[in-house]
Amino acid sequence: MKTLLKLTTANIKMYFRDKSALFFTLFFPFIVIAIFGVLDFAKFSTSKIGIVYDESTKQYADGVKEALSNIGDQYKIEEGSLEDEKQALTDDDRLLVLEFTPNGEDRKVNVKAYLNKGNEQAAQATFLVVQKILADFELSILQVQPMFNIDSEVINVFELRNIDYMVPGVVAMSLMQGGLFGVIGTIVDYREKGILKRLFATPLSKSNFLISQILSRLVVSIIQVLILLVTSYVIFKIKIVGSLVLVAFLAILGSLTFLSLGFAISGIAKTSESARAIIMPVQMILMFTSGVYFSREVLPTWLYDITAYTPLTYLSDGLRDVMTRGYGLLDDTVKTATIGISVWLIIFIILAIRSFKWEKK
Amino acid sequence: MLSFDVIWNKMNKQKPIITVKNLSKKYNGLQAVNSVTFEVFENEIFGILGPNGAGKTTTIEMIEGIREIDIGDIEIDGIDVDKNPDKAKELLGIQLQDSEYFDHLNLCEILDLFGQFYSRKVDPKDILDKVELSSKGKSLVKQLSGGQKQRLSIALSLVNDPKILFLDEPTTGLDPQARRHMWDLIERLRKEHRTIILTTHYMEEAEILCDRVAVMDEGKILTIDTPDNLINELLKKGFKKEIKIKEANLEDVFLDLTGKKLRD
Repeated sequence: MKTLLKLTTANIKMYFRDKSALFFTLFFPFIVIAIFGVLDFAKFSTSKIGIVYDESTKQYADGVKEALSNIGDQYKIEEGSLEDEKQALTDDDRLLVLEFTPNGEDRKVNVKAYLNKGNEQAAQATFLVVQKILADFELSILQVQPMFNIDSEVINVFELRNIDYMVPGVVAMSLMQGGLFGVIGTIVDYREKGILKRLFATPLSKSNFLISQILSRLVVSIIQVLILLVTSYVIFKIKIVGSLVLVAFLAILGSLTFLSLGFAISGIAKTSESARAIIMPVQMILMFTSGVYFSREVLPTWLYDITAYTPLTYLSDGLRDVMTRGYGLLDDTVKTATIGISVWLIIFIILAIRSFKWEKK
Repeated sequence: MLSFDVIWNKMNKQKPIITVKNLSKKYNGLQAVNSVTFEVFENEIFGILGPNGAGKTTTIEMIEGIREIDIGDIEIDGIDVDKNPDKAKELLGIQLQDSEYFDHLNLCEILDLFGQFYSRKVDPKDILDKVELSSKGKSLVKQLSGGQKQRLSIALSLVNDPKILFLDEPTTGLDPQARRHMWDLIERLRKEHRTIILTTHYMEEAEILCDRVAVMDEGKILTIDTPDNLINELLKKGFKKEIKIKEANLEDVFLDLTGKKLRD
């Protein structure tokens, strides 16, 4: 027991003295969060509305402009000639262009809308708002009392911001990296340097060695998750709705799973080069197909269906549902995630035990 | 021959501390060790010599309990290695060929950690003193020279104050000064009533250090005797060196020019 404790603390000590490992496990995930946290993906698409009018239609155009700006500052209005505005639309710099032209007869006005095909839904929605404004306008000019009193309110149940979505994913990702890089790096390195063989020449038992490796990695992972959550909470004010105990439970379960995968790969890989050749694709594929940075909804159906079963999908979905939606262990998605991770854990433990070797041969 | 051995041993009150009987080991169809039998006596320096691939390291590693035994028995101080490897490991100090150590622990910490694996434990400072590394207690392994690394590896084999020491090519890669220094250290360790099993590719080293040597080739032991007896037997067969030996050799010149002081 004392041996186990001593070896575990020595492992942790070595870990914290290894500057590059420290950077990759503690600061890299945080940098990822920081970058994604300050990015605003909504800015990818423009929300500018171009308005084209002449002297005779100016009052109507002004009315629409005023009504739009009364709604809120999400609508940015630009004015110009039809030619310029249409060009801006083609250049993806306008969501919508409205052209006000006199009809010729009476006081009628033609309003023509040009919509940005690249962001058609948002353009259509904005156009509906414009139509509503015009209808109100018409009613007030005709001095007719509207029959329906229409009102709407936007209710976003989870109010899931980008960063709220990201953090659980990055937590899952860093648990994966901790397991893979941490264990494989250490074990393969020890084996190549003959340290494993030297340890085996002492009365130290294999179980003490393996348990101390797992314990020390687990401690590091927990510290890592804490740093991630606390900094995200302080800097980005992320919401953690669900139980922290459940978050810790899933994090430990996930960490154990990836540690076992790490041991399994370090048994299979003969050198650190071949280990890297195995880990890189594994972690790249998992990282981009398991809903860490973005939802899996964007994946083609076949890939979407397959990636539902990856350990990283289970872990990031489980953590996300607990953290952002406050789901409990008995809620379907968290239950599925827990069972899914546990199944992987068992598979990886069996693989790890079968493949683990003290020596190069 | 055997009866002579027995009488000679009794006369010298030499008691076997390691007994190896009919030891064999096969790797992928290759007979690495082929029915090897020998004894190592208490407090002697026993050399195992032989070309690369002769089966020296495999034999030693089976005695050390880190390699499975195919056929045969090994007893260390009355303990069956195959049945009680952990108990046997408690008695042994092991220095492996080109083994490296943790990058991020200093020497004291490494010695302290290794000591933790044994029930008997020596103060890291005393061990560092013994191998003349006391000023390096807070250094990392990468800051050591080749000779210092070898001495660290000897130091690590001493953490449990072992009765029996295994030194696998402890002087390979060392400069003449460091090698001589290592010889002194090995002599000192033997004076502390330890039994030392040594492998080396340097015959003069074996001649100077070893009480008895076993010469191995192709998995078998060709002969076991004191270096003197082996040399005399060869001479008796009428062996003559073709070149007349000079009173000094190039190594003597080298040491005369550069001094015997240890360089680290």
